Amino acid sequence: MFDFKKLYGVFVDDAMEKVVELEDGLLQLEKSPHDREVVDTIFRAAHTIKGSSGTLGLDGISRFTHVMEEVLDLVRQEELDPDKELVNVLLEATDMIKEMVESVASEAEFDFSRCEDLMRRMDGLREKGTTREFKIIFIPAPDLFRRGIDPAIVLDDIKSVGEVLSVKADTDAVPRLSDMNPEDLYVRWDILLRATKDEAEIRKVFEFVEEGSEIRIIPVQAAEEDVPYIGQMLVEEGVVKAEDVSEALKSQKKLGEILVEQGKATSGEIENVLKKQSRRKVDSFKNAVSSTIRIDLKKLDHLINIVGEMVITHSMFHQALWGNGNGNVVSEKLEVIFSQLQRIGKEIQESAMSLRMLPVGEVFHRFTRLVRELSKDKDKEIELIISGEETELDKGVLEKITDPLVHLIRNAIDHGIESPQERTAAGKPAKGTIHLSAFQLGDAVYIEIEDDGRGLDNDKILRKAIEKGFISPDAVPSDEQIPNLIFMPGFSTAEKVTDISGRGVGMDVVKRNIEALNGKISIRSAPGKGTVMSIKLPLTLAIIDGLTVLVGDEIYVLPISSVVESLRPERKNVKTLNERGEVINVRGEYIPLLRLHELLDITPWKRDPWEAIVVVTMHEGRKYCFMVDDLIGQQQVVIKSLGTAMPGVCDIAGGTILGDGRVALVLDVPGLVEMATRHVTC
Amino acid sequence: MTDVSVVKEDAELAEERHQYVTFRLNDEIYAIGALNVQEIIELSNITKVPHLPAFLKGVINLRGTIIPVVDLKLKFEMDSDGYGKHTCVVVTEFSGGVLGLIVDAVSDVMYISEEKISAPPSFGAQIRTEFIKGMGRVGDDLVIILDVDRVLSEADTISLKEAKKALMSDEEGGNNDG
Repeated sequence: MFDFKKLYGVFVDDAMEKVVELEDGLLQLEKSPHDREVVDTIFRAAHTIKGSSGTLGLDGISRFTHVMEEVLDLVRQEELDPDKELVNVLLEATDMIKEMVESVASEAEFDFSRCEDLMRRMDGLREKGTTREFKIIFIPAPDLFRRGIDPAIVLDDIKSVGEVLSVKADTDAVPRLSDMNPEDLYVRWDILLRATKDEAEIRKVFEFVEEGSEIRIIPVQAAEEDVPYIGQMLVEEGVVKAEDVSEALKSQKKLGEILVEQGKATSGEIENVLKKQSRRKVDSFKNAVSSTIRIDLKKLDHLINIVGEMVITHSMFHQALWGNGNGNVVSEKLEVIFSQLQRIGKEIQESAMSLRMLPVGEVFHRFTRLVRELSKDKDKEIELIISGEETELDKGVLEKITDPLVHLIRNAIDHGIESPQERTAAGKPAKGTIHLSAFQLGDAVYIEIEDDGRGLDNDKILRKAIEKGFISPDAVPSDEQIPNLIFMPGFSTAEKVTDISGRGVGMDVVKRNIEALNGKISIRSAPGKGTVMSIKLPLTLAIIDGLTVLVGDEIYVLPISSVVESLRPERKNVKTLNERGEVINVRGEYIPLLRLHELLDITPWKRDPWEAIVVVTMHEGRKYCFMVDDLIGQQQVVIKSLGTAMPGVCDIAGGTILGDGRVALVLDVPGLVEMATRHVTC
Repeated sequence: MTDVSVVKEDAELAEERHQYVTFRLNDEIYAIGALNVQEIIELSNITKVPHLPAFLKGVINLRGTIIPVVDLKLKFEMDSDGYGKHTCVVVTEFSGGVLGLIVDAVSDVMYISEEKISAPPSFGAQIRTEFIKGMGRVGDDLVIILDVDRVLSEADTISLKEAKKALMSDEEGGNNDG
């Protein structure tokens, strides 16, 4: 027997995608309940999950999503209003589907009895709002009048089971006046009814007239309402029976055959056209298939690796040809071809890197849900506005930025936005907004979280910072500097711990996570007006701007993001403290000096700072000077891991391959500082 | 039909399992299962990585991928007089990833049947034998078969951490009030 489990992986990937679509769609539906496209998307997502789970024999999921699909179908037919309650239940159902799919992924047992309650609630929704349209064909018995029944009463009664959309009296059967028996009833009625009841209930209205009458109650499907096939119409109108139609259809000849018979075309010509038609069908099918493909990330990384390798080999080639002063040997023509090759190589590298880029919208839309739930919990009214969702970020960066963003958004909901009462009192709209935006500027992507809440209390922060000893009591930080003090480890202004924020995981963790991505975070805040958290991220994790430095015989790379400046200090500006710790006076500021060769255990060329170069770096608001033998230059480097077999070293962020094929280590400034200040934790 | 090919594949695999890449460290011959060997490359520029024990020489560029290299002679605490013209790197794959082993010279790829391999002898505490999988006899020669997984074993990772700790405390001593 075929093992469906092999296909589970594909199913899980696909279903998860659909679950996200469901969630996004439902949230959007709440905002614009009559957006046909949104409803269709949600419906399709549910339908796909139902279909694919059914095919794989995952009956539980299939059954569950079927119920969901039915509810959605009613919404689609505008018979059910997507109110808050409906969206809530369906969101819960989406979570349930997610759990079920996850259990498939982890091959865990899922207790389907947990779904029962939700399924019942969904059914409840359906019954509440099920209004269906029925076409009622009422052909009364001709002797109705003689039996003392007035069909008008019946027609009136129908109103009790639903809304009568139209009543059409069909008088075709009425004979000429001379042939007419005034006691006979010749008229028949077509009634269009919208009702919440089912067919049996409607039929009850006709209980008294049933005898001898023909009553047909046909549920009308929205799709079929457009233009029904003639056959169907004939059946509906009671002209012929359904069997007659299908029989007639079977005996019908194909158009092509008819044309050939009539001599209007040869069978060859017809065949050609038919072939073309089938080709078109294939084409239209192809177009329906998504234009994206799913690729294993490993394959992609391998491609990026070898492309990087090609670029390096290329520059080695370049060096071999033009290096060492033999530039004249190579012909001009070769040079032209070579530079062309170089350009193509660079382009290939860039497009390979771009394959890893994903739009931030994927992550952003998850927050709609978060904001919705959290603001409900906190009894606050908050709207999340998202912009720039098409901005692209490296997949790796995107994955790692999610947690810090969750934290920041929670903070904004918890501390930033005030309660509706407070807001109204302050003359602001009761509904708060959080604006989550992304945009690209140069080589960096900015993500900003802006709330229109109460803003940060600078006095409180300053008091706290002094109290905790982060700054000295007589320091006078600028208004821009103060908010950034909350990134200091151990800082929290929240007066009481709530379950949303203030659980001890502070802003310092957020900052560290962002810095681990070579990013930066800063705060702008205006009291009473709101707070903006601005995150600056590199386009990709793998490529950084680096400062290449020489220490002994080794070349190291320092990430430019943490470098402030580099200089050769004058002898008089190098001071010692307690005869041991060294500091350098940089324009009046005393900055501790760390000798890289000591930290990295290398024999240097230069031992005196005034002969060497110091690179001033910034880490957690403090500056440190790193002493190196020489600066080589600034270049973009591709950071690579040192191999899984390598034990982690805390002051090394990774390695990169230089133009000559050698490996240079990329230094980790926080790690170096930690090493030097003896807080060794890695 | 499929059964036949499966059997054949198994036989081939079994044959490969008994193939060994042999190399020299000073005057001794060592071997690694051929299935573990990815390739053998010339010794190129090694980039030193700080704070690591001496046998972990650093990292090299293997066609765009960075891999760590271990000097086996230093690892086994054997006499070492630098690298010569035959020195090369045996790139091996083991459970922890890809690792380059620096050896004096690669000698051969040979077949050593199971019955010619005996368990490693016990020397007591003086000589470490945990990374020796077995001893093979090939003619008059003794071939020491290595267990690649254990060359950079758990014990080493721990000793690495200790080495690093020792290094830190050194710095603490020498770098007070820094």
